[in-house]
Amino acid sequence: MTTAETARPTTRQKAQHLMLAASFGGHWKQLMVLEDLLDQGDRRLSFVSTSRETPPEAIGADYYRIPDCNAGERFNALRCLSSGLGLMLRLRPDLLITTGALPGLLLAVAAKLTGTRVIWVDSVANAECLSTSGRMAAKFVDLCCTQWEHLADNDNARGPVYLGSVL
Amino acid sequence: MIFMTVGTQLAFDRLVRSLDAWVGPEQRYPAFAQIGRGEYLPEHISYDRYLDPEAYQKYLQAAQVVVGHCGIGTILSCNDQGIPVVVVPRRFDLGEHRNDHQIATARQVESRGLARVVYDESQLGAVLEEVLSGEQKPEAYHKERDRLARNLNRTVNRFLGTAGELS
Repeated sequence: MTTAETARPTTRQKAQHLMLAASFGGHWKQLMVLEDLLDQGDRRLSFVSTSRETPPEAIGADYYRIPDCNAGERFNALRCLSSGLGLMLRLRPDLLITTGALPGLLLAVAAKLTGTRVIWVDSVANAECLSTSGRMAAKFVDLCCTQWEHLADNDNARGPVYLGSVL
Repeated sequence: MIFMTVGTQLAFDRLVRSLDAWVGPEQRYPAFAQIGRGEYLPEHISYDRYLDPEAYQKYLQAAQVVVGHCGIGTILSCNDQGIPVVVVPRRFDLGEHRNDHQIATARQVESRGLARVVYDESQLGAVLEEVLSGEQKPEAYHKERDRLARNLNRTVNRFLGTAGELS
């Protein structure tokens, strides 16, 4: 009986897994606004940031930490990338949304290498041109978004597109 | 009290020094400063280099006004909690940031009424007095968020194959 029960093909689909990631600080704050705006439905959400302590907004949720890094810190960047790869292989999310900065970019690289699609939302702090990380992300993510209408390139399907802004 | 925060990444001695001078030996108003890796140590106000998220939130809630660099994280946190915020943008020519993006951000948040901006730090005291004597709480209105919510959800649904036309 038990065998028959477990062998029965299931019709229910696995919940879709949406991963939200940003380095801690202003990028994280913007990510939390996005989370607030997202219809969650019955999707599974996970959060990734660089804070050792679980950020207040992620307490009780699925939170993972990756090492922080800045431009020029090659060793830290490598640690961050390898930690991101491990996370992606373990969790296999269906979609990654990140607001940056460098840790977000490295996680986006890890995501694309392991078959997860990526939406990049460039920080609203970059009103005059895309951020350095954003310009790199635009080359390989599935969709790159800017929060400034005048920075959008509407002739390019992968972006940057303007969807609106947290401000 | 006044809560000052310069963010976690870079020092901002010019800002710390001007608040310290305004509070002065006469202790014009109680204040606490988070000064990061700054070299200037305040003489008239208590301070800490960094705060964990919990302590940061505690100071925010206790503040009548927040004084900060023009960082998106600081501005969004204050907007969400209805706390008046006065920001001084970091300047590239003074070595306070990698470029002048905070000045561009400052113009935008100012035009949307999301923060009071002080470009010349000698005006900080005057603006603080004005804000502290003001009765009305700021009503931050993020006019581009509705659009972002609509478009972001449509985009995520398209990526995850759970389409459904949104208006």
